[in-house]
Amino acid sequence: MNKIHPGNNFVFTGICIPDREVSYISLFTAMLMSRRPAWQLNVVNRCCPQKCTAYDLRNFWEDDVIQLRPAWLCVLVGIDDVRKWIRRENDWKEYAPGPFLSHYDYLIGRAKDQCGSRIILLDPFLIAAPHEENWTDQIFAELPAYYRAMAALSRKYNAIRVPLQTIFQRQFQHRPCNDFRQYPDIPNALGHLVVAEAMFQAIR
Amino acid sequence: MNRTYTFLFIGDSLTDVGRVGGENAPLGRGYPRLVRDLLVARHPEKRLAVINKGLSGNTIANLAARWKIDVLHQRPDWLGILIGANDIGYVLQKWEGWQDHTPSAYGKHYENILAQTRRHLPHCHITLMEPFYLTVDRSANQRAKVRRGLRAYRDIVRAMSRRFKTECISFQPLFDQQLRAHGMRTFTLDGAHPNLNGAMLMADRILSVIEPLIKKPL
Repeated sequence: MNKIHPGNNFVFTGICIPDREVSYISLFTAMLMSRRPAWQLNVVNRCCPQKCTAYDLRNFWEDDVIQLRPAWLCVLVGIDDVRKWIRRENDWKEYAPGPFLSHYDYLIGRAKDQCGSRIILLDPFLIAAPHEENWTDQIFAELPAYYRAMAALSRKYNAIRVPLQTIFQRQFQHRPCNDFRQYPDIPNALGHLVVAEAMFQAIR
Repeated sequence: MNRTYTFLFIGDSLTDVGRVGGENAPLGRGYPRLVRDLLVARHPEKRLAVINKGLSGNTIANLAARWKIDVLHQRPDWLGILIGANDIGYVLQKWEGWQDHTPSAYGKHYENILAQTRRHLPHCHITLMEPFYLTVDRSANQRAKVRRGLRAYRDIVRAMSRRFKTECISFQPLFDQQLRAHGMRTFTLDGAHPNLNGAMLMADRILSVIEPLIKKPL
């Protein structure tokens, strides 16, 4: 049952994708207003201004999420975990798929226990073709392990998982990656809309 | 191989929204852009082209003057027309040449462009969009006058739609309902130009007309 009741806080958190004028959050908000005006959701953007991992989110979670008591919580995190894991950056062991799962599990568990939130998990994604660049290929090689972690979380918490990489791959069969991106990790307006529309289709 | 389905939007600043030059060219960042993006998101396999010929400040007379090049020569499969906000501006402000923008003159120009379109593009699907104004003001103030004054123009658009057997979209009641619930500023800053929320409302309504068409083979 994916019911949304009037007056709900709908909280977005996780990585903040830079945008020029529209973001998947503003587009999703406009879609809700246009298509489901009776829901009267209060959309709150609590995405992190800097690079953000599941490990980092633990620091923000009480202030940015739990205090808002979201009825719906949408999280996009993971791509910076993969990057830091590959580069062996500071605290790199915290970003491996195993710790990623346990940090993410802690976060979602808190939201479920404290707020009873319905959860939407957005898969981390890259808007890139195979063999385009070394760094994108490195990330593509690691992503399946993180997706398995998300699948486990989705099952455990009955969360709605939005498979954004799969959705973009379907688009790439018909249009080049450049139609959807500023950079491989930053969508353009069309890329943001693809994300927002996928989210809306997932919760409707 | 399916051929490309071409959609063309024409109108004034509500359609233009920065389509000429800059990073938002050639579609602008208004409702035509959202229609294109939503079509791509929902129907990636379809071959679609969306053309925006909106031009800020235009009236129906301006559209008539550029109709041949900007519409007939483009040979669209679907055509959407939204015009009238500047015509009523001329009439209310009594700007020079205002007589060419009264509802009666508006109707004559509208009839002319639709007759041309039916003659030259007999298979083109046409959707007329009634002009609208976003305010909850029902007093004697300027905004309320614009909204009230547009009623005569909307009546003409509806009559044209019946006569030329086109689709017709009434945005005014759709927005009126939303404005009552969420307030004017949620959808527009100035009453005339929809923001992202307003543009999404328009795009969703237009898609309800377009999506059944693209599901049929050309």
